[in-house]
Amino acid sequence: MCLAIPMRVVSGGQLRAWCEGRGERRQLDLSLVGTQPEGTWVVAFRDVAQQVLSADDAATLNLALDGLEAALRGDTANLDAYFPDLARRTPELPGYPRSGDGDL
Amino acid sequence: MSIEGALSIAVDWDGRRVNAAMLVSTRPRGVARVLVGKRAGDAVAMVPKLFSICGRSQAVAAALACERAAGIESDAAVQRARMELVDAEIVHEYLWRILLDWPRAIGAAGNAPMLASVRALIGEALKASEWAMRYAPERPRSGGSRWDAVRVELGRLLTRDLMDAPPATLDDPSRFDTWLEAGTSPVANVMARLRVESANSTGPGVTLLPIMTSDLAAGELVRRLDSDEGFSSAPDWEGSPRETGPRARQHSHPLIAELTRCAPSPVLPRLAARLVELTELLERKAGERMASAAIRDGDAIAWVETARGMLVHRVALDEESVVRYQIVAPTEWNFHPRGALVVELETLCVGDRTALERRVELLVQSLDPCVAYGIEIGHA
Repeated sequence: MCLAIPMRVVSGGQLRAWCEGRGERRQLDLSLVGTQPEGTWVVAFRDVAQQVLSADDAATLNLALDGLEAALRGDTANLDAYFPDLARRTPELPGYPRSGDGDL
Repeated sequence: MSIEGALSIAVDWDGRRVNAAMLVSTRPRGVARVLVGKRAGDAVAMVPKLFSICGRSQAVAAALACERAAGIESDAAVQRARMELVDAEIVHEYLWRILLDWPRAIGAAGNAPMLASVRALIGEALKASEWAMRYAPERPRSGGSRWDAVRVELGRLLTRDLMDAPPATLDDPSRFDTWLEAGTSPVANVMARLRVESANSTGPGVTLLPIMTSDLAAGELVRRLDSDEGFSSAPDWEGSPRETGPRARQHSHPLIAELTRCAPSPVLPRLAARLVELTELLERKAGERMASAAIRDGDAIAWVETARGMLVHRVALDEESVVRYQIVAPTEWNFHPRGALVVELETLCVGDRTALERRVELLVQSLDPCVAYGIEIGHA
């Protein structure tokens, strides 16, 4: 439900780029975030790069999704490790670009 | 397979008509179990991180359910900030459809630069309301919402640049038809072409999901959640799958009622319902879109009307810890194995393969799944 994953640009193009993340390789539509250099993290949803992510935010999202996969396997013993410092921060989520994101 | 999962839509077509359609979902089931054992505040903070596509609506639904279960009443400032978060998220999704997805559906380019500007504008405005995504939040002492200013600006953009007509154009079916036929504005042009491309009759489809009330939610909805483990992934209402989303919410609007009665396919009524709702949200004329109800001590249900339809969160707390969590997302209603899409596909009579591919694609897009999908047309 409404899950998006972080992917990293591995082979850039102007309108589309090959990206890798969570064991998958996909060609993503870049029209919302503009051309991005190799190594840039983006949030992928339905094969569209929605937003540029910092490496830290990509790691946080990857860890949360790892936690979800662990829970789905029934491995719930140590779920807190996947969501560090959760309640102390204002939620930050992908979906809308911060000003300065992208290269339009 | 990535954790997002996907919808696989198989259409059995004999060259003249669709004989059967089958929908298989590989979306993960029971994802809400990741929240079990968490403190209510942590669960509410986790939700938008995980379900980021409608993250704000998801966070608001989680906060409403957890607070109701804990017996916490939110004040008017919290309610207003949450309403803005949900409104803005719907506006964002609808402008995405209008600026990018609808033009692309007819082979046009879309307006990605304008959508990028709109997203930046909405994202900036929402920062001042994001505190309300927390559990039992306190209103910050400084910083007011900018949503009203952004809402007015987006309203101008919609009526001046995209529709080239006042919102009242959508109040009257004949006025709407004249506007559509003229096709001089970007939105009218795209909708007119989509009307032609989706023109094949699809039959009556499934019944619309009723507007949720506290009695229905705490009664029938909870009864089904308690008695049927599969309900969260394949929900129905009074024994049959239902359509949720803008057309269900706007079914009594004069234009949507008329289009639903007269249009051969549900595609145009669904697109028009989004446009009607968008103008209402930008004029702040839209009604209540969220509520919660207590079931028993420590047990509550909340529902939020999101861009894709009704989102339900149900939570049971023991002290402050989550002991049970259930989520029913709108895509599960509309993409039920016997839901709106499948029923409509099975009434399609199209003799040309390319035309059929277009019809199927437009039906899927009109229901706007929150997951990737693939379509396969073959003959058994």
